[in-house]
Amino acid sequence: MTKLDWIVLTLTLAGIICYGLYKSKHSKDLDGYFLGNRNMPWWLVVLSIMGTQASAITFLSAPGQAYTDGMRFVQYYFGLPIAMVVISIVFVPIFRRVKVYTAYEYLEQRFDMKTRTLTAFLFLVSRGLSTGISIYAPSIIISSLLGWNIYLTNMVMGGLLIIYTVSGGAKAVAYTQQLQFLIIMAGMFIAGYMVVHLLPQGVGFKEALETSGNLGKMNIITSGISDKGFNWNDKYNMWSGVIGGFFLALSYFGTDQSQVGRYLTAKSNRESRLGLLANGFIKVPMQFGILLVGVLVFAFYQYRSQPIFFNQTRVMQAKETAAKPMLENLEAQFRDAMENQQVYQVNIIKAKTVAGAEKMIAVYNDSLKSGAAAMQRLKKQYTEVLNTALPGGEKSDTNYIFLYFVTNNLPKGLVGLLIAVIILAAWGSIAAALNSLASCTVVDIHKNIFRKDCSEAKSYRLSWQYTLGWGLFSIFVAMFATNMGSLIEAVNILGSLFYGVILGVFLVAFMWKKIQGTAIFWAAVTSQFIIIAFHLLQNSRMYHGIKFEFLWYNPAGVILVFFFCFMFSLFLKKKQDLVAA
Amino acid sequence: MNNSKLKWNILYATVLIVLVAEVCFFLWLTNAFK
Repeated sequence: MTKLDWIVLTLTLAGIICYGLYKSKHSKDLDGYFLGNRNMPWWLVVLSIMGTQASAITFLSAPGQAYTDGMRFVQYYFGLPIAMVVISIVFVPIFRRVKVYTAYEYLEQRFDMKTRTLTAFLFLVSRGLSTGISIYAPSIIISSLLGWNIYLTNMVMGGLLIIYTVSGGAKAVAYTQQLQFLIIMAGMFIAGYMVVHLLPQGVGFKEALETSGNLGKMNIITSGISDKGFNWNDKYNMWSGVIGGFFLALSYFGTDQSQVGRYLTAKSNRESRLGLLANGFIKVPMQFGILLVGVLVFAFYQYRSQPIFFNQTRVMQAKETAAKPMLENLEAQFRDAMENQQVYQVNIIKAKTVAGAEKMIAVYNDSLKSGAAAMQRLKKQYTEVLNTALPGGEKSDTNYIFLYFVTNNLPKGLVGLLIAVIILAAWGSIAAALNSLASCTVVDIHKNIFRKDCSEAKSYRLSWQYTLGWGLFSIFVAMFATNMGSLIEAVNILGSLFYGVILGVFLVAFMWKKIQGTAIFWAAVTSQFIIIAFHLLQNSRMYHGIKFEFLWYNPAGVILVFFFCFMFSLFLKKKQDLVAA
Repeated sequence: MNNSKLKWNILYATVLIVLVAEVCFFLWLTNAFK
C-alpha cells in the first residue's frame, strides 16, 4: 500500500468513528436499537439487517469463492426472499404481539424456561463461534498488508474490536450503518468497474463473461442432477439453494437474536415487515453483484499474470524452507502454462473478428479448457508442497484472491478505500453480533439463572462484562479459523449445524399447540445431537454412505425436531395416562 | 379481503415474482455464457 492509501484508509475509518460517536452523543433517535424502544423506520431496519449480515467475509471471501468455484454460490440465497415473506406473515406478528425483547423469551411463554435456555444456549454457541470466524477475516487483511503473524493480528484486531464495542462502538455503528453501507456498496461497485476497465483492449464486460463462462465460472444455475441421479453431496444447486437456503434464512432471520433484535425495534408491524421484504428484494442481486466481481477478477487474470498461490506472505515463508527449489520449479511450470493460456485467449479475441472462424475458436476453447485443468493440477501440487513445508496456518488461498487483486491492481487511494470498506463491514457485523450475544446472555441466561431483578446500572455493567467475555471467546475461536478454507462457507456450515433445530423448536411453538415443554426440550436435544454426530461421522473415514451437503442440515433439523416431538409426546402421554390410572 | 390485506398480499407476491424473474434471468445467463 502507498502513503495515499494509508491516508484514505485512516481518514475513512476515523471519519466514520467520529461521525458515529458524535451522532450517538447528540441524538436519541436510535436508542431503540439497544433499548427496545421500538421506534425505527423500515429503511433503517433494512440497513441494520443487511449491515449485520454483511461482514468482512462477504466482501473478502465471496469474490474468492466465485473465482474458484464459479457463480453457483448465488443459488444459496434463493430461499431467502421466500423466508422473508414467511417471517413477515408468521413470525413478526407473534413476536410483536407477545412484546418480547429476545426471540427466546417467547419460548418461555409458550413452553418453559428450560426450552428457552436451551435455544438461547444453541444461539450463543453458534453465533459465538461464527463471530470468531468473522474476527479472523479482517485479520487476514492486516496480516497480509503488514506481514504480521496471523495469530498476533487476531489478538490485536480482536482487542481493538472489543474496546471499540464496549466503549460505545456498537451504538456508533447503529448510527453510521446507513452511511457505512452506502460506502461499502459504492466500494464494491467501483471495484467491479475497475476490473472491467483494467481488461486488455478488445475485452469488455461481455467478453470477460464469455472468458469466465468458457472455463465454467458462469455456472449460476445448476441442477445437482447427474447420470447417477440427484447428488446430495453437491454443495450449491437450485434445490439445495431454494429448500436448504429457505430453512437456513428462515432460521437466521426468524430465530437468531442478532437479526430478530434488529426488526423487533421497528416502529410497528408494518415497518418490521417492510424492512424484511426490502431485504428479500435486495439480497439476491447484491450477492450476485459481489460474486460477479469475483468472476470478473477471474477473467482479468486470464489475460494478466496471476500468482500460483494468492497468499503471498505464506509463499514467502515457505520459500525460507527446504521446499524452495520445488516451489520455484512449479511456479515456472505454472508461468509457462499461463502464458500459453494468454496466447489462446488473445487468439480467440482475434478469431472472433474473422467471419467463419467458429471451428478455430472451438479448437482454442478446447485447448483453453485442458490448459486450465493443467494449471489447476499444478496449483494443487504447489499447495500440497506449501502445506507440507508449513504445516500450520491457512491452507487455502480463497480468502486472499480479492485482496491480492485490490492491492496489486487498483489505483492509489482506491486500495485504501476498499480496505476501509472491508474493515467497516467487519466492525458493523462484529459489534452487532457481540452486542446481541451479550444482551441474550444477560436477558435469557444470567437473569434466568440468578432470577434477580437487576438495576439499570447493574444490567449495563453485566452487559459490558459479557461483551468483553464474548469478545475474548471470539478471539480464541479466531485462532482456530486458519484451516477452514472459504470463510463464507465455514460460517454457513457452522450456522446450519444449529439453525435447523432452533427453527424446528420455533415452528413447533407456532404450529403445534398440543406440544408442551418437556417433549420439545428433549426433541431439540436429541435432534441437535443427531445432526452434530452425523456431521462428524460423514466427515470421518469410517463413513461410506450417501453424503449430504451442509444446507440439507437445515430442513433435516426441522424434520427431526417434529419427529421426536411426536415420539416424545406419545411417550409422555402414555406416562401421564399410567399416572392417572 | 380488506384493502390493507390485499396490499400486503400484492407485496408478498411481488417479492416472489421478482425472485422467479431473477432465476429466469440467471438461467438465461448460464446458457448464454456456457
